[in-house]
Amino acid sequence: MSKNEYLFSPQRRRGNTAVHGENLCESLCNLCVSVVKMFSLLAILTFSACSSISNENRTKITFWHGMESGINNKVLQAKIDEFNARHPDILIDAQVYGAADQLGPKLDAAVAGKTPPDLLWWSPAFFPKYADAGVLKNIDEFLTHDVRNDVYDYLWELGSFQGKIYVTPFSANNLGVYYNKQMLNEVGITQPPQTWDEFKDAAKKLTRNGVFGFQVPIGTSEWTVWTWQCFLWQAGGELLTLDKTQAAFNSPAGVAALDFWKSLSDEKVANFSETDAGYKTDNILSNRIAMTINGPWNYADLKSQTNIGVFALPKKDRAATNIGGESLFLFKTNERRERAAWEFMKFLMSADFQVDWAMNTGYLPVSKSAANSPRYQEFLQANPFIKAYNDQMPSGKTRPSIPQYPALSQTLGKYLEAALYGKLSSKEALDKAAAEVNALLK
Amino acid sequence: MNSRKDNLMAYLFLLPACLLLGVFVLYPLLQLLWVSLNEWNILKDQMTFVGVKNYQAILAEDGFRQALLNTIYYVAVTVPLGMAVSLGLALLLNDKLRGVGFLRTAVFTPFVTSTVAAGVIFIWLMDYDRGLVNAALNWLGISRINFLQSDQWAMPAVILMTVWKQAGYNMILFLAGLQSIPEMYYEAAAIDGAKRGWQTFRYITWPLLWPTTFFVLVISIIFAFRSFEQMFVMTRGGPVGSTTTLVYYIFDKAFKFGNMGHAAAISTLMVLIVLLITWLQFRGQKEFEM
Repeated sequence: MSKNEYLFSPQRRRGNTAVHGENLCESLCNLCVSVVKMFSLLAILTFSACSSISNENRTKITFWHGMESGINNKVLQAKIDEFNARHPDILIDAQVYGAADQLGPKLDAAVAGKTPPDLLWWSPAFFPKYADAGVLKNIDEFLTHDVRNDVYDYLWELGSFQGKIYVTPFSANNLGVYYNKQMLNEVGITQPPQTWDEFKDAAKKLTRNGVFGFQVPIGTSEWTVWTWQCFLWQAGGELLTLDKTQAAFNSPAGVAALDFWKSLSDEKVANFSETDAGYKTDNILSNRIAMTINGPWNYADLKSQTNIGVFALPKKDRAATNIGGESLFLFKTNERRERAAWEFMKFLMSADFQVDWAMNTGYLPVSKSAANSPRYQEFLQANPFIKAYNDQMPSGKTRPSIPQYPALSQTLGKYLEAALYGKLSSKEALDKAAAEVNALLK
Repeated sequence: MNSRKDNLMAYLFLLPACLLLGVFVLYPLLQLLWVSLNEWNILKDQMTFVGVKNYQAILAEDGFRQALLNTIYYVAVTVPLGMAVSLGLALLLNDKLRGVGFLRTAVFTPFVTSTVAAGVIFIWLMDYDRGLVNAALNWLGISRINFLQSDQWAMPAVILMTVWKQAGYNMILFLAGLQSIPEMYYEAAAIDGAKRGWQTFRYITWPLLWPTTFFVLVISIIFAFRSFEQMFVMTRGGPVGSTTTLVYYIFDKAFKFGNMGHAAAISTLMVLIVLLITWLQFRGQKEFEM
């Protein structure tokens, strides 16, 4: 400090000033001095702030998640508090980032600005883009045999890119159909519709008094594409070729799946969701629609809504649902922080956390020890809402783990929308989407 | 000697402004140009020079053409409509009526409301079966309109919201302009037998208000070109891209597809378009004055 003052002191400067504009230069110098003083003060404040953190001697881990449900948030925070209490050297700082579908731009900006979180809770479909960019930590070196064997294999497959594991599962889920029990009763539907034909039939019967039988999810964000893939698979199609280098969705199966959605809206037995808001529950809760596609994560919020039930997605050539869930992305920092974050990731995969979490929120457990635990099995028997999702797991398929997936999803979403709005025929839309997707995959 | 000193002083006084403009306008603008000539992966922080390839690619895109047409539609309706509404309001609220202060504040309030909050309220207002607007249409015997989910009505809905939100600001500018017109012209006109109303408006108010009108026109056009939040909140650029304006398209390209080169190229073209329009306006302004 004293050195700075000497260097920038007006006295010293005065001797050096040029002949012209002496007064002005002097006042400028004075200004410089005050600026330097201000910065020194700032520096001191910053240093003292840093030292107070290191005094605490805890490694602070920033954890971003997008839990939108208030109840789920509380359950998670309680478990985080429990973890923090058990680990005096680690401090998990959870921050909510809002809707998971809208995270992409925020995360890209954070990564480009070199300020990503330590840990991120997001759909595993999106991690390869970041693994490919080299900002994610490969966790193979941390992974022990018992953890690896306990968690379901398909979840490790989902978390692998180019033979390496990058993300650990936090929870699993899939898609089913929410229905309004009373409305189905009123029109005499006692058995859940099992095939596309039965489903459309049910939607027709349920469309009356201003209520639509079903809601087609609209929008170009992931939700629409995620749900549509189920129908593509049910019709026997695939999203990509086996080697993941070409689009395969512009097949007769793809056309059938898109035509099916379109016929529901053309025949006025389904309305369109708000753009990018197909996952919201307000339309079914306010009795505007009788059936909609959604997942198990609303379990806690819907507990009091005894009128909402769940059945499996209808099938065509085969049954299929889209397995999702959230995984934990570990961003590269330094060894101390990575190891601290790993402790937390292990805690989140433990049967203790998984069972508590699943029973409180309805998410499906990721490990065998959690799923097979007597506590969880008992819970399943008492909760048909969750059981419906659990029973669908064997027919579940997953999205491809490729870096281009986010752009693929945007592109396909755009053309699905164009077809649903009647701007293009299903075949035209899917062919155009395939051409653009093939360019992305090159 | 003395003049040299004065020059130095002048440059020193100009320096802060030049520095600010240089750092926050000129440098980003040049950077934008540079990015538009590159392929830039922000996650890997890799830049590859590709020349004008980005420009060729976007000019060949249907999406770009659609966004450009949407922008023209949006600007061409929002600007005249918004100006007419705000001028009308200014004329109504120019008199010293009782409670005029309250009314002016009420009209100005939307402008200081956050666009996001206002957008959410408009989503509710325009809801198909529970919104106030459709309830009113229904009551008038007009069939309901599914504003935000129709590719024909989404843009008018967004325009309506923008006009509502912007009217207060333009009204204040017009009010200031109206109050700077000396009363004596109206008095002289009254002596000559002009009727207060259309005649005084056409021959006194309108010509004398022209500098204000011109200013409002220029900033309205620039504001309109920059609009983004309305679309982001109310329609997400949809349905079927019908409310995707150039700025929204840039956002999509940059942050959803991660294609910074394309986004920068579109931004550059947009800068050129706005420059061209502003230049035309100033030329038109000069001719008008002559």
